[in-house]
This record gives sequence, C-alpha cells and structure tokens, in this order.
Amino acid sequence: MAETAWEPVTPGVIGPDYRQSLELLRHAAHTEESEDVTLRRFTALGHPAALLYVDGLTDSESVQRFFLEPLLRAAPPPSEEPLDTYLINIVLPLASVSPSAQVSAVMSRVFSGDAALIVDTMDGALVADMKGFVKRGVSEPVNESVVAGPHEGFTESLRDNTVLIRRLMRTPALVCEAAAVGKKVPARVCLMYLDGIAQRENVEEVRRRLEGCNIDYVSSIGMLEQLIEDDPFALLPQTACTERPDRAVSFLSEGQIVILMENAPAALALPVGFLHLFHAPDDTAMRWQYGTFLRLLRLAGMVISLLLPGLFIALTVYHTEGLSLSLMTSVVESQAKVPLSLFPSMLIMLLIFSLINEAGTRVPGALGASLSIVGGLILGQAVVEAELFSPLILIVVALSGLGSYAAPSFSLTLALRIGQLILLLAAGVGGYPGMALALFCLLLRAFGVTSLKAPYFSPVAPKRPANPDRAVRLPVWRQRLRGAIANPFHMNRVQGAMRAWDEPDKEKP
Amino acid sequence: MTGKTTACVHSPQQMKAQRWQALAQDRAALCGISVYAQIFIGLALYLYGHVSTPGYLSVLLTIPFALLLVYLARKTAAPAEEEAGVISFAAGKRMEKPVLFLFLLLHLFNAQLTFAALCAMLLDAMPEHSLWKMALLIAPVLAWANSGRTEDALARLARFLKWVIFALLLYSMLAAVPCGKAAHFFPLLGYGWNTVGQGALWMCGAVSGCVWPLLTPQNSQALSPLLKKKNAVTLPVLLAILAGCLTMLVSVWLMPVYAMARNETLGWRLMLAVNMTPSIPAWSMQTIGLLLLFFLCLSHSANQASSLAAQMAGKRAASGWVTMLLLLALVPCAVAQSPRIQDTLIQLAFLRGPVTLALVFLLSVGSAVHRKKLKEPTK
Repeated sequence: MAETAWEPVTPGVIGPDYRQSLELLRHAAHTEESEDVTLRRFTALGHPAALLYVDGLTDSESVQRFFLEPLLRAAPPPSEEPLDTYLINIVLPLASVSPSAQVSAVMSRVFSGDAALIVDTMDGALVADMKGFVKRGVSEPVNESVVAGPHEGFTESLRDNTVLIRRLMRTPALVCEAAAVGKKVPARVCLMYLDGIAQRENVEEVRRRLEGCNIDYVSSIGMLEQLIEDDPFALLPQTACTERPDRAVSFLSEGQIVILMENAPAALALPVGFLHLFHAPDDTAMRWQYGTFLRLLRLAGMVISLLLPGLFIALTVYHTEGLSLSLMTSVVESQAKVPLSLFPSMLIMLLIFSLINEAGTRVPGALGASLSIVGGLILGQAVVEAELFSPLILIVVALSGLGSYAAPSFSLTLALRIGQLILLLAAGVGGYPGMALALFCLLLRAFGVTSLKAPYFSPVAPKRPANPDRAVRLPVWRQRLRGAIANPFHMNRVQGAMRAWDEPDKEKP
Repeated sequence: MTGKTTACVHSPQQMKAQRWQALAQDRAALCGISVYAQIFIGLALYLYGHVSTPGYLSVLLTIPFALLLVYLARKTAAPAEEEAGVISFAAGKRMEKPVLFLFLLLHLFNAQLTFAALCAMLLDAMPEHSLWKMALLIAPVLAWANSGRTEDALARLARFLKWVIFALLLYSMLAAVPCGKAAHFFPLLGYGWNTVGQGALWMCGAVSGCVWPLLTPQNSQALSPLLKKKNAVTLPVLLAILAGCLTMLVSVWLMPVYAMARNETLGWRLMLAVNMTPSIPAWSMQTIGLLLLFFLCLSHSANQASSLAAQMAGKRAASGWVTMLLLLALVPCAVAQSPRIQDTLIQLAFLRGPVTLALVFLLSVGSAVHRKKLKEPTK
C-alpha cells in the first residue's frame, strides 16, 4: 500500500470559499467511500452550510437539538458582526464550541466524535464537542482485585479516566497535560502530575520521551510503556501499570507522573522502583500490622518462587552430601520408578504449570477456572499415579507457583517466572556455583536498572531518606515523608505530627 | 510518636548532593565487603602451612592502618576542576602514573587471590566438573554482567547484600562455635611477632587495595560528600575489619579442626565453618552467600583494575573487553590449585605490603607538597 494511504488528513486551510472548503472536507473525510461519515448540507442564515460528523461517534440527538435546529431558526447576523462570533455567542447553545481553520485539526476532532460546521463566507470551521459513542461503564478491575479499598477501575474512555482521578484528588494543583503519540494515527495521551510536588525535571523528561516516540500508531498502553522505559532489555518492569484510580492517585501524591491513554483501561506511573511493584493496592487501606504481615508473606513467597526449584535441583543432583539421610531416602524412593531424572522433570513440570496458567488466562471466565482445576489437580494426580513424575517435584512446583502468584504485579510475576527458569537451568548445569553465578548476574542487572533515571531499588540501595513504607510498613502517622524515588519537590507530607490530637501540647499542624 | 521534620524542599542541588552521598555510601559498602572477603581468603590461604598463626592479631593491626588511610582521604581537598583526576591532585601530576600503576597491582593481586579462592571452592563443590571449563565460563559471564552501566549497580548490590552475607556467615560461625574449645584459643595469642608482623603487612595490602575507591574517587564531585559523610563512609570498612576479626576468632576457636585440615584443600578450608551448619536450607544459603561474596569481590577488583588501566591510558571509562581479558588472564593461575601455586599466591599476596607502603609514601609526600603549594599564594 502506498505511503499516502496512511496519511490521515489532507493538508489545507478552510477559508471563506464554501465550495473549496466543502471539497477539502469531502476529500479529507472520505465522505464518498465511508458509509458512516455524514456530510449534511443545508441553508443557514441565508448562506449554504454543511455539517460533518461521524455517525455513531457523535450523538445524533445533540446534533439535531443543539446544532441544526438553532441554525435553521436563526436570523441573519447584523452586518458588522463576524459570522463565527455571532454563531458562537448568539445562535449555538453549546458549552464547548470553537473555531478551527486547519483541515488536519478539524479531522482529528471529527474522528474523535465532534461535529464540524462550515458556512459560506465564514473563515474556518466551528467544531463542537458532541461525543456520543458507546463505551463501557466503570467496573471493578479484573487484575487488581482488593479486599479493602475502592472497587472502581479505569475504562477505555480517556475523559472518564481523568474524571475518576480528579474525583479522588480534588485540587487545582493536579495538572492534566494533553499529548499525542503516533505520527500517522495519533493516540491521545494525558500526562498527570501534582504541580509543586512532582519534580519538573521528571515531567520534562516524560514529555521529551512522549514527543520522541517516532511510531506510526500505538495500539495499547503496553506499547507506549516499551517506547518510553529506560532499559528495554531489563527483565524487570520500569513503570507500574495499574487499573485502579486510587492507586494512580497514590502515585500522584508521591510526586510520580501518571500517563493515561485513549482506549487503555490502565494508567502508567513512573518513576517506580521494585517496592512499588511489590506493594499491593490495599496495603495502605489496612491497619499497619496486617499490611506488614501480608507484605512479609508476599516477600517470602517471591523468594520461594525464585529460588526453590533451583535449590532443590542443585541439592538433590549435585550436593547430596548436604541432604539428611531421611530426605535422601525419600528423594531416591520417589525417583526410583520415574523414567525422567530430576532436572528434566522439574523443567517439564514448570513449563506445564506455565502452560496451564496461560491457557486458564486465555479461555473465558468460568471455563478458565475449570481448566485450572483440571490442569492443576487432575493432571497432577494423574502424572503421579502414572509414575511419570515424582510427587516431590509436584510439591516444589506447586509451592513455587503459589509464591509467584503472591506478587501483586502481573509483570513482576512474569519476571519472577523467567528468573526462576534461568536459575533452574543454571542449577541444573552447575549446581550451587552455577546458581550463584546466575543469581549474581540477575541481581547485578536488576540493581543497574533505573526508572526515569532513578535507581530501581531506591531508597534501600542507594539509601535515601524516605517514607518508611518498604517491606515493613510503619503506621500511617509515621509516614511523614514521601517516597524518595520520584525526588518529590516537597519531601514532607505535612508539618508537625499527624496525630496532633494525641499530643496537643507538643505539636500542632 | 513525634517524627523529625527533615528536608522539606528538594532543590536540584540538594538532590545532586544526596545522590553523591548515597553513591559514596554504596561504594563504602562495596569496599567493606571486599575487605571482608580478602580477610576471609587470607585466613584460609595464609593459614596453610602456618596453622598456629594468630591471624586475628594481624587483622587488628590493620585497623590503625585503615584509619591512617581514611585520615589521608579526609585531608584531601576537592580540586577546582569538576572532572580533574583526584589522584593527580593528591599525589601530584608527575606521580600520577606510578601511583595508578601501584594501585593497579594491588587490585590485580586481589582479583587473582579471589579467583583462586573461588576456583578452590568450585573444585570442592563440583569435583566431577572440569575446573578449566567452569573458570572459562565464569570470566566472560562476569565481564558481561559488569559491562555497561553497572559500576554503580555493583556498589548498590553490595549495600543490599552486605547484611545478608554477613548474617549468613555469622550464623555459620555461631553454628561452628560448639566444635571448638576455649583452651585452644589463649595459648596462641603470644605466637611469634615476626609472623604477626608479616600477617599484618599482608592484611594492610589487602585493605589498602580494597579502600582505594574511597581514597581517590574518580570523579571529584564524589569527594565532598565522602568528606561530609565521614562516619557513614568509614563505618562499613571498619565494621568489615571487625567482622574479619570475628571470623578469625572463630577460626582460631576451631583450631583443632584446622590443625587436622593441614593437608586439606583451600576450598575445604574456606567452607569449614559453613560445612558445620546442621540445617540444609541454611547450609545452602550460606554456600550461595559465600559464592556471591567472591563474585562481588572479584567483580570489584576486576572493574577497578580495568578502570585504572583506562585512566593510565588517558581514557575516562573502562572497556568491558579489557575487564574480560583481565579476568581471562587470571584463569590459569586460579585454576592451578597445586600447593606450589598456592605458595606463589601467598608470596604474591605478601608483595602487596611493600606496594602499599610505597603508595602511602607517595601519597603523603604528594599531598604535603600540594598543600604547601596551596598555602603559598596566601602568604
């Protein structure tokens, strides 16, 4: 296909010559070829006029009520008043209507659901916001369910998403900058941050990266993430992707920047560190003791998930001198009737586990749960009874699988699984030394990762004065500082004690 | 209940200063962990053939020496030019290359000893595997992992791992304590001062090589936070020396086991305390922790050596290929685990002492001359 076929608009300017302007719009909007693009011609104020909109994207009733009816009934303007000013101020009862002369700008708005009006002798077009397309309502996030806290999730509508955030953070300091990514088909993007808290350097850097995305079309927020992250070859995600407005607001309050994209039911937050991906959305909604307990449990699960398969293989294959006699007997007995040795058994079982997981994710809801039961329970029992795999292998795989699910971020879960396989392969080839070498390389690479140039494991390494909300979470009233990773302009959340009522004589807010 | 109200506003200058301070502290942690690794290796290697040497006294003697080095670092003022080499400032432009070469030698010795210790452990842990193949695999993998933007990553990793490694090794030491006897400890205190002096010189060389990045950071901007955060920077090194003393203490405590181990391999001696841990998970984690310690130390020494080589060649950054070549060059001596080679290693390691003395002399003279030059215009 020719390169020009991808050109979304025809360059040109809408002038007072009606015929020329009409031709420009017809050519640019492909009104002859596209069945859903409507060009309604009529006479208004004694002049020939045309209204351009996309059926389905624009609300037809609003077009009829607020555009056509007032125009058809309006009296001609006084001779001294420009036509566009007269229409905006007197005739059209619309809150959002503005003149636009560039065909590209008009097309961009028309194909976003607005309606454009051209009138003979009027310089430029009038474009009014009349969006009325079908969209999904606000529902509970699928991948970030919580026990405590709000149950609202982002939708595919960019405006709805900004509203969800604004509703939770009612302050004029919350800035919502518009941007576009994609050279041929630009996708609308919103850059949100708290003015006075977020570092200007970070905001400028994100702006620079968004402007520097040289791509024809961005279909998802995941694509955008890959285009703007620091190190695309790193295993760990460098942005936090969330479906929850409350979590996005939490990032904003820490001085981080949130990016929303049209047609994406999720937001990207950056800069983020490992701790952000390790924290669950409802940690702060719980009392600090419960939140800390769950975090430590999660951390243990992640360590088990990463290390257990490799440790088991290294110990049972290469370093049997470390095993006690009873455990050694158990391993030997369980392996006696199994055709495969331990290392390939473990590798195959981990791959089967990943396969069940992937299949369960792809098939529809109820069927997915059934598939997981069939795969996990029945298949597991069957392979042990058929003496294809040792029950010990199954226990290790199940434990490591459980551990990987403890990670609250899906990206982190996948990173853990890949790390687990790397460590297993290293242990299978070189025992503990191989595993230690692989672990060292993984850790060294992880500690070299940055998110928006901020070290990934900050404020632990490098150590920075920051919010005591890490693996152990101190009570909310002890969290007087913001997270250090975003270098917030104001580190302190408030001046004075947070439980001021408890110490009336010492500190007052 | 009442918390401190710390830095309220983060200006770009404050942020920059905080970053340098954090980097200085990370590097101090890396230096500390390298010092500990050298003491640990020295313990296993030097005791070979000198079973009753009270090595802990040698280590204790290194503390005043470490303090002297830190004192020299503190007395050095930051140069005016932003990117000026600190070493040329401290020692004078003429002495720059000899000093760099001496530091390079120290790092090469450290790297060689660490690689030898690592190979000894590998031989002990995986006797059926070819040591040559393992060493030839480790060298490029480590070089690859250290390539690119990982100079700071290594320091951050050291900061993160230091407590994990120290805790694991301390646990192994504590588990080994019941195997020793107090009676074996005290008589060894007074053993020949000649040996103790030799040991001290040996250890001073090790410490000097490891704390070089603290003495002379490559970027002058890193110097002022180093000077401001004296305690935070010097503490990890001193703590590492104390941890080394503790390791010595436990090893002397285990002297009968060492005495029996006279003809055992270097790897066996390195793993002695770890092997006494009764719990399987703890033993596994301790073994991996010890290996991680050696990987860290080897990477640090190799990176520093290649960085010094780059500085001598007039380049700002070290090449990953140089690091790989350097690591590959260390393989033959590390793989040859014969007693003769071990004796050579001991001799090489001992040579670090005179090299260090020469360095201290050059730096002190250079620093004094420079300070005199600085004072002259004011008169």
